[in-house]
Formats: sequence, structure tokens, C-alpha cells
Amino acid sequence: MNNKTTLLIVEDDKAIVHFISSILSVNEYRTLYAGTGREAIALIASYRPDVVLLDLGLPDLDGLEVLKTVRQWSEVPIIVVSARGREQEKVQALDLGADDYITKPFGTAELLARIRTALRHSARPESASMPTGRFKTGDLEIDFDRRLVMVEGRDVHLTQIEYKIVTLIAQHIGRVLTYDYIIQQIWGVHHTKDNQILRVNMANIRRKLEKNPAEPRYILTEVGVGYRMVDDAG
Amino acid sequence: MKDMAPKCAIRMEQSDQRADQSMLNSSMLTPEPQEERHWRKFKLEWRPMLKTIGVLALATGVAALLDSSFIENNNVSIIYTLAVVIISSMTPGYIYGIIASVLSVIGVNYFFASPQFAFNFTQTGYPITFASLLVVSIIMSTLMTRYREAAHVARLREMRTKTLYELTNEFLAADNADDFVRIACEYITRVCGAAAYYVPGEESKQDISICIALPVMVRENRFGTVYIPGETCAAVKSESLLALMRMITAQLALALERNRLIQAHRNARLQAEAEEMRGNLLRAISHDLRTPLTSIQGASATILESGKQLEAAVNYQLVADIHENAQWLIRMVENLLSVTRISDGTAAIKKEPEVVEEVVAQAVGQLRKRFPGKGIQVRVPDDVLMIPMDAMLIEQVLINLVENAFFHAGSSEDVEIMVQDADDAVAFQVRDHGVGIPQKELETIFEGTAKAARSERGDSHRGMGIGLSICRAIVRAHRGTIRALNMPDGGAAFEFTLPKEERTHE
Repeated sequence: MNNKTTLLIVEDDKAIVHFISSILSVNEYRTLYAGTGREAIALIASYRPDVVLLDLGLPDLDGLEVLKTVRQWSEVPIIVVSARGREQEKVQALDLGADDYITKPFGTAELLARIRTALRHSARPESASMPTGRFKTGDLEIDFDRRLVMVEGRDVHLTQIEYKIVTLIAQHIGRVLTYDYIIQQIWGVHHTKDNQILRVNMANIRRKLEKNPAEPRYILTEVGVGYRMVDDAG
Repeated sequence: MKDMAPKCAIRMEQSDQRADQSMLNSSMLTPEPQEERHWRKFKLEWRPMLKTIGVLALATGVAALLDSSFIENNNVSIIYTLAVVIISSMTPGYIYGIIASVLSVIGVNYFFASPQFAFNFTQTGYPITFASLLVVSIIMSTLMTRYREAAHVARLREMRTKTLYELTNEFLAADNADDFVRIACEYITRVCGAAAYYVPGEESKQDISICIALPVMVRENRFGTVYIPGETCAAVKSESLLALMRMITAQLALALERNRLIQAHRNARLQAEAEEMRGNLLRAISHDLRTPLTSIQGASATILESGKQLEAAVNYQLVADIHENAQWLIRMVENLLSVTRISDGTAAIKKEPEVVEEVVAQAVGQLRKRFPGKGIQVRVPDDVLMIPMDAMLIEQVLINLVENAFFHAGSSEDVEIMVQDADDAVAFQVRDHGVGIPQKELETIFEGTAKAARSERGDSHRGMGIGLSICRAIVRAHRGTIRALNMPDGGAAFEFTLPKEERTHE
């Protein structure tokens, strides 16, 4: 056992496992592999990997079940692998405690970036405590103490709600926050079908922060899922 | 009729035409006891009786005035005759006219014939006076009754025609089943004064609280039933009122049938288009899929069998070819996924309100990832546009259009995506600065057959015609429009619009 970062790949297709473990070992990660959900649960319990890459389509268990089970006793960062057009599944996975998701088919660069982000932010800021100090990503700066948001050094005037949304997303930089989660955190409403108020607020934030709202640099939309602040270090 | 609650059927038999009058005024809400109407012709009411006495008193006064001015005595009879005519025309039925005649004879006899203020029925000419007054009153009453009835029927017809006309007009303006039902219920409520409601389905419910059940059906096809609840049943008491309500429900049935046929027609058309597109896609796949797969198989076999003997650069090129072909296959499969998404529910794609720029941004993100070397420029309006759509499908449309421009424009200039607010729709434009589209292809470019013509120009990319036909199917499934055009300053543009409002009517 060395001190390399360990990744568990939960995937039943051998070829995919092979390509992922190849690219990971080139990048100095140690990899484990599980072909079924039960095996995955056993391996997470015994080997305590640093990140889990979980494909939701498994032969024995529903990937979401694996996620639910693991989350009862482990906070290990879990990246879910899902397909395009299955946005509902992604939302469910995130709500069940997945840290991130990656959409099939994905490239190696994207995969490595997601893993790095997951490792960096494995400490989950669960408490809604007021953040302090300063936050910076790219040219976007947030001064939590003075409640100021700046882009390229100039002040951006945000409303109270807009400021709350931006800081919430910034606190979870690199991670996708679902519409439901944000609405719950900002407005305190649970399980609403209507996320228009959030979407409109976000469109207004985009107009204040981004040069071109159709090519955002800071807050990306994962259509049908939620919002993610770009982690430029990733 | 067969669906009517028994209680109501009895009420209808009792009803007669006179009650029709009630629907023209508000008195219908305070109905009279049923049996009274049978006896109305023979039973005296205080209001017409008062009129009769009043007019007779006036006639007596006028006659007395004339009498005292010593004008010819014959005028007295004339004045009473006039009074009888007036009374007959003012009162319903014959009875008041006859009463007036009798009273007139008595009045003439008592007040004016000698001996004054005494009866003398033996006077000559008395039976003639009496008989003529009687005949005049009966003729007048008959004429007036007929006239009143004719006027009433005409008014009723006019009102019925007007109601149906207005109803038809509102139906023409409405465009979905819910509106039709709402309008019909409003009209029924208006004519009968009771709050009518509609229940869809084949069965009529049996419930004692229901007074009238009007089936809404065209031939054997039953859409549902309009119910009028029991507490207001007394208001619905006439046959012709029922007939009017039945006409309204018949109109409703026709409107619903028309709506159903339009929907069915549209669904059939969409289905046919989806079928056509699926057919094209399958043809393209069977035709084109082998090529990249052969290339992948060949390249990988070469590396497996003799990779060691080959130069590194050759190996690299083989792997790069595999990569490119795999990407092409992925794009094809994603289009396939879109097609199944449209044809799964036939016409019913699942639309959610989406912020336009978010969908555009996601498509641009995908394109940048897949084509790192290509330039894209995006412009969206300052106003936040939110429209109903299936975001994944619209993203696919944008990706296909931009890819099409990358491959076929023959230009290295940036491809531009522009979004504009067009009142009741949002317009998307993807334009390039390349060679444009040959005139003869403009019309057929979305048919999925333009591929052959384009590859004559040396395009090596397969199946792009399919991409465009998928774009058209997606846009049409959103009830939008799509077209291709050449820009005056060079280059081709593809424009599509998506309606802002959910519409079920075309």
C-alpha cells in the first residue's frame, strides 16, 4: 500500500474499465475495479477509496441503490456516470448525495478534471454557516465580509437574493447544485416543481457577471439538472 | 332524453309552451306551481282583472262626459266597444274580454240607457248590442292571442338563433377542448340560470342531485356529459329550453369532434413525418454505418497485428482515424436518440419552460468540446427569454446546424448563432460565411436526400442530410418553422423559430 490516491471504478463493461484505468494509472492514480453493485459496496467498505466512479447501469443493483447504501456510512466523493437525456437520473443521484456526474460518452480530459475537482472538494460544506474571507475564481471575486462581488476588479451590484445564490454556488465551486437544492437553500421551499424564479434570477445574475450570457465563464447551466460554478483550477 | 333522470322527465311532460316566456325574463327563477298553468285560461288573476275594471271605469267616465255634453247617444256603445278592444289586447286569454263585454252591456244598460241608473233588459236592440260586443271581444282576444304567440315564438327563435350564433362564434375563436367545454357550460348556465358542469367520459353518472344530464356525443362517439344539478332544476322546466340546451351540447359535441379530428390529423402527419425521418435515418445508417466501422475495424486490426513493425507516426494516424470515426458514430447515435425521443410519444414531446441562452450555451459548450479548432460566435438578446421546449432536442438542432456549417460551408470564418425575440416566437439563426447552398437544394435540403448532391462537391462527411431532416422534425414537433437561405452578403443561414406559447391550434 503506497500513498497514491485510490479510485474505485464501478462499471460492468471491461473495455471502459480498461481505458479508464489506463488513463488513471498514467496520471498516477491507483485504481480498483468492481463489476457489480454488491462488489462495489464491499470494496468501498474495505478499501476506503478516495473517489468512486459509479456507473448507474449495473447488472445486479440499481446504481442509485448503491449510492444510497454507501451514503449511509461513507462520505467518499462519488462521481456518477450517466447518459445524455437522462437528466432526471442525474438529479436523483445528486439529491441522493452524489458529488458530481459525468455524461457518457466522455473524454479523458473531462474525466480527469472531474476527478481532480471531486478530490479537492471532498470536504463537503454541509453547514449553511456564513462564509468569511475572500473567494476568487478567474476574474470573479467575492468578499464575504463586505458582501461584495467583483468582476475584473469592478463592483457588481447584486440583489439580496442574487448575492445569496452566487455565494451558495461559489461555496460549492466545481459541483453541480440541483435546482431543488438551491431553491431549498435560498427560499426554504421543498420539492417545488416550479423553478422559474430561480432560472430568472440566474439569468439576471448572468447578465451582471458574464460578458456574454450565451457563453458564461463562471456559472454554467447543466440544462435540466442545475448550476455549476466553473473551477478554473480544474 | 334516455339519460335524463326520471324526475326531470316528468317535469318536462308537464311543461307547456307558455313557460318559454320565462326564459326571456328573470321570472323563471321564481317558478309558479306546475298545475296553475293548466287553469290559467279560466282562472282570474288580479292584475288583468284590475286592468279590465280600470279601462271600463275610464270608458264609463268618458262616456258620461260625452253623454253630458249631449252628443249623439250612440257614441256610448262605440266607447265601450273600444274599451273591450283595448282590454282584449291588454289581457291574456279570452276571459277578460268576455267579462269586459258583459260588464259593458250592463254598464250601457245601467248608466246610459233610460231609465238611467236602473236595469232594463227588455229594451229593444239590447241583445244585438250585447252580441256584437261579445263577438268583438272574442275576435280581438283571438287575434291578440295569436299575435302574442307569434311574437313570442319569433322572439324565442331569434334568441335561440342569436345564442347559437354567438356560441358558434366563440367556438371558432377557441382552439382547445377545455375552452369548448367552458364556453358551452357558460351558455347553458346563461340560458337556464343553473350552473352547468361537464364530466368527460362514456358513462353518465346516476346521482339524485343531478337534475338533467345532457350527453355530448357525435354518432356513437360519446365525449362526456353536461350536468345541471338538482337544486336549480325547477328553473329548467320547458321543452324548448331543453331543446336549446340540447342544441348547445350538440354544437359542443361537433366542436369536440372537430378538435379531435384536427388532433388526429396532426398526429398522423407528425407520425408520418417521424416515420419518414426514421426511414431516412435507418437507410443512412445501413448505408453509412459500415464505412466508419470498417475503418475502425481495419485500423485497429492493423495496429494489433503489425503495430510493432509500423512507424510511430503511422500508428498515431491509425488511432486518430479510429478516434474520428468513433466520434462520428457518437454523433449519429445521438441523433438516433433524438429520433426515438420524438417518435416515442408520437406528437407529445415533453416541453418545459427553458431559458433560451442556457440551451444555446450548452450546445455551444458541446460544440467547442468536439471541435476545439473551430470558431463560434453567439449573440442572445438582453431580455431573458423563457420558452417551452425539450432542451435536449433543441440543443441537438443547434449542434446539427453548426456542424453542418462546419462541414459544408467551406470557410474557416466563425459560424454565428443569433437569437432574436420575434413577438410570439423566438428566432434562432445559424449562419456561416461559406459557399452558400445551391439554389436547387434550398427546397429539398431538409428532406434528408441532399446528401448525395452535396457529396458530389467532394464532402467527405456522411449523413449530414439526415442531421437536417432531424432538425426539421424536432422543430415541427415544437410547432415551429425552419428554413434555409443564402445571405445577400454571402454564406448560408438556417433559421428556425419556436413559439413562445403552448398552442394546440394551428
